Amino acid sequence: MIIIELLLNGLVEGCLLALICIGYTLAYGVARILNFAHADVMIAGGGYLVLLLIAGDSFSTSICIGTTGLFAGAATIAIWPRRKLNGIIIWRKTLVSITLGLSVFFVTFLFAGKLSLLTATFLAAPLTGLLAAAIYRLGYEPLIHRNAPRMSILLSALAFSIALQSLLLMLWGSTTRAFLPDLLPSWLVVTHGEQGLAFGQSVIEHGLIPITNSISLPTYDALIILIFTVTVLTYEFFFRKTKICCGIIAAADSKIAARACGIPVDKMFTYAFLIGGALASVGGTLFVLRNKSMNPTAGFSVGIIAFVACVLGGIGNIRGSVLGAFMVSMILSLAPAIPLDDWANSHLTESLNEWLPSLNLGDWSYGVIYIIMIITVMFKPRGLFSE
Amino acid sequence: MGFFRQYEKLSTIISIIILFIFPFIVPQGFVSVGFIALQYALFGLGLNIVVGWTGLLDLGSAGFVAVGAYTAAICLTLFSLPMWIVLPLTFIVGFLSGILLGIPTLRHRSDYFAILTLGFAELISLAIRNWPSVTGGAYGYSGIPALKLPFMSASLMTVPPIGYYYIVLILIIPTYILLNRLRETKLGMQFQVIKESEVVAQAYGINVVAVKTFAFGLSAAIISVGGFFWASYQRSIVWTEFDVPLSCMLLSILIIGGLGNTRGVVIGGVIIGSASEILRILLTAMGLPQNMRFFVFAVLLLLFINMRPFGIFSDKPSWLRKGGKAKKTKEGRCRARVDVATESNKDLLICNAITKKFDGVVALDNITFTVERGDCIALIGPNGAGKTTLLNLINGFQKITNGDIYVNNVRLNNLLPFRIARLGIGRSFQDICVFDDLTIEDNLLLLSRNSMPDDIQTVLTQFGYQDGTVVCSLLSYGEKKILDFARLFTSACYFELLLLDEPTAGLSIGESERLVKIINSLRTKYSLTIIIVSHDMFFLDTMQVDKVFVLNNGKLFAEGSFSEIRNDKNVKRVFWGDEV
Repeated sequence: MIIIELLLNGLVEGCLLALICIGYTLAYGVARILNFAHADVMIAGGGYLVLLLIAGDSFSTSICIGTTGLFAGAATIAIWPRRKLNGIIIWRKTLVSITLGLSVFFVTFLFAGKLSLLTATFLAAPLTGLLAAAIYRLGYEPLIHRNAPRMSILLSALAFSIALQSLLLMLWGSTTRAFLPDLLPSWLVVTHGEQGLAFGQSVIEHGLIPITNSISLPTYDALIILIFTVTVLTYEFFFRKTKICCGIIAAADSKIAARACGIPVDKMFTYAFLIGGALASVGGTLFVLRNKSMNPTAGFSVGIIAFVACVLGGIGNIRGSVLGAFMVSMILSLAPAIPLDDWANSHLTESLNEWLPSLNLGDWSYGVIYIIMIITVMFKPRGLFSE
Repeated sequence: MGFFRQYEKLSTIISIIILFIFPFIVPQGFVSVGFIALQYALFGLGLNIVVGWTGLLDLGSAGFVAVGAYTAAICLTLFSLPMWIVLPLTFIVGFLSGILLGIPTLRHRSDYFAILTLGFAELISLAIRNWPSVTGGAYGYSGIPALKLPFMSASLMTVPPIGYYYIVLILIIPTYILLNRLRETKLGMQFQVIKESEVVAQAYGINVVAVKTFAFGLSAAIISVGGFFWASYQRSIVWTEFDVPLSCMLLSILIIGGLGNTRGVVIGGVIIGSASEILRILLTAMGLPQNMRFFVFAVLLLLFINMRPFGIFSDKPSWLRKGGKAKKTKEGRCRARVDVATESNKDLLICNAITKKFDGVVALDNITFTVERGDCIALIGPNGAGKTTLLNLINGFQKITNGDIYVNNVRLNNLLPFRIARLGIGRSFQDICVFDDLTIEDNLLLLSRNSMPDDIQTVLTQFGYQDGTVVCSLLSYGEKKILDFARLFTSACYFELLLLDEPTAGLSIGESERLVKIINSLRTKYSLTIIIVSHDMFFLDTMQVDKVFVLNNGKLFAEGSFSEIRNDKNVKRVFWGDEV
């Protein structure tokens, strides 16, 4: 029974991870960028922006203005005109981008604290996409244009990651924020009042959907699986047939050939980042829902794990990295169940046990993932599920 | 940075004097800034070997700082060993850990390598956290004793850390000089070749994995020594310090200073180290939170990368201008080998029933032929006939499915490309593999095994290049192609068998005529055996090839002299269809 629960757990975590992985793999597959800022974009949009939209009135004005300002600025930068066309068009485009920035600012500010979880998630997704696109426009595109060494681009990504993380730290402080039950729709939450209060535990308890007698799926997790399925199906059956998607694939394959066919390559790259950011935002919201709390640095470790999942499945290949995400999450949730420490306790002497490192594989679960990744890359460098 | 180049000696002397009197000309509070700056310069020098010279993206350098710091902490505290034992020990431990981590990862090219190093750094950090009995676990390691120097009072070691400053300074100057020397040796050149193209490096007999592993180990060792100072100066260490932000900071040293430039890296290290320390002092004085430091740092870094993506010292190295490696040519060695081989037997290359399959697609099917010593063989056939695959099999770039290849009675089947190259098999490529960032001279010098600068001049004039200092990205397609051959022929005395893949593709008639002359003169001079893959009948005719093999659909279709093949009806049908 425990195994089934762990597998279910792994499945749900896999959905989260997969949504984040798609962004990484798009950025890599299209522009060959290891986009380290992705995880921080995810936590900024899916976590803090959604929190602001749901419960904005309970935060200080500086937090509200700072966060909305960040996203408004990002929106402006993301669609800022590229090069000097003729006078009127450039002015019109500049005006459009400024208008977009201002409207993002006012919409977010007006709606802060007034939205429900679902509407907030879907409003936050495009805004987060714009943030990701802005990072591409600001940090990567100029370097790509100048043929900068790939090291510089990588470092630019790392710098953006650090900048975004420390900006969030400065705005929101390093305290862990909880998603309180009154912020969430009632059908998601079943509050076991007495128990929660009596034991001084967190008051959030989730509703349960029974599967068998002893196993039940929390409503959160059901929601996560649902959203993931909808997103992936939309991506697979709707988006893949659009002109933008074809353009992105062409631009990824050969920039020069795509340009010769009249595809605006830079724009396509921006779109790829936008889509990745939007998906990450959804993933981020689900991640926060599941953990019920977040802090500005929470994105980082998830980001690295998502990254490893991409590499395992085949970075640059969306299906592969989604499968990789599920594999990694299964391993992560099954690893603590291996009773290595029990074995050590019963078979080894006490002094040796004291000296040895922790043998609880739960402490080492990331390590297990890394080792699997290293072995995989040694034998199949293009990932387990590469085509 | 024209100023530095113009007054190189003067600026070096002045900066060394400033470095030595630094602790006495600044306020006491700033001696620590100098120490941290030098420490980061040391990190930069170490990381530069891997990232700047060998061109590998190392994202896990913080892991090696942790290795050094924890080794030093444990040795200094638990075993209370003296400094002059611990310091070399951290170097050795760092070197070994670098090699250990390098073995599984270094087969892979840039991005995968970057991710793997990131993973390894996390593994090191996990190990530190989960092994409290040795490393102090999540709470860190504290109570590390301060270093003691014989003629220095204890207070000078701590506040202000004048003692530490001088130890690092005395260590960093010889490191700098030695690394600069290393850059000009054969090994340093091999680093550069690997950075430019691993395929070319293998084709010229460089043991890529071994060289990369050594670079990684050396880099890890130097970074670990930096970790030694980290631990012994701070006197307490926590695993959170050795995380990705630190790796990022160390990388930014290289980006700011200029990738691969030793002087730039030292300056970058001084800038980053002192900036981070000054920011820390300022933020503490102003009562602002410390995470602001990372924000300011990241924003400054972003601005800098955007303004100068190639760093402060972005100038490319020039080996020949520096005097290169003026070694004596060992004529005897290469002659002797050729003589022994000539006596042994007549057949140089024997291909025995070679088959190559790619997942069921048969690229080469049961091909048997022999090439006699001194012959010039042409390999022709329609596109997709398997000509390049055949060269790749002889060369070891692809694994043979069935059959055997012998050169001088040595079986080549399971040998790595660099071993095959060392047996005297040279290779030119269909696609251009010239090192775009370097000058023509350096292209020649880096790959020639032991040519003198004068020889390079001879080759340059022979191949019709007027100015050897031109950067290769400015050359035309044909010039690059010819340069590829020039490179091959600077080490021609080492090769017995040359495999030329489409030598004239993209060349004008004049250029290919010049190429014929060059190839023929070298062929007689060094008694070379040559296999040419080509579509260019005019070229093959003027080359006066001894024998022609025709490949079609992976099978040996016909063989004979050039005139026989030219008049063969079946061959004509394969090339031009039935109508001819």
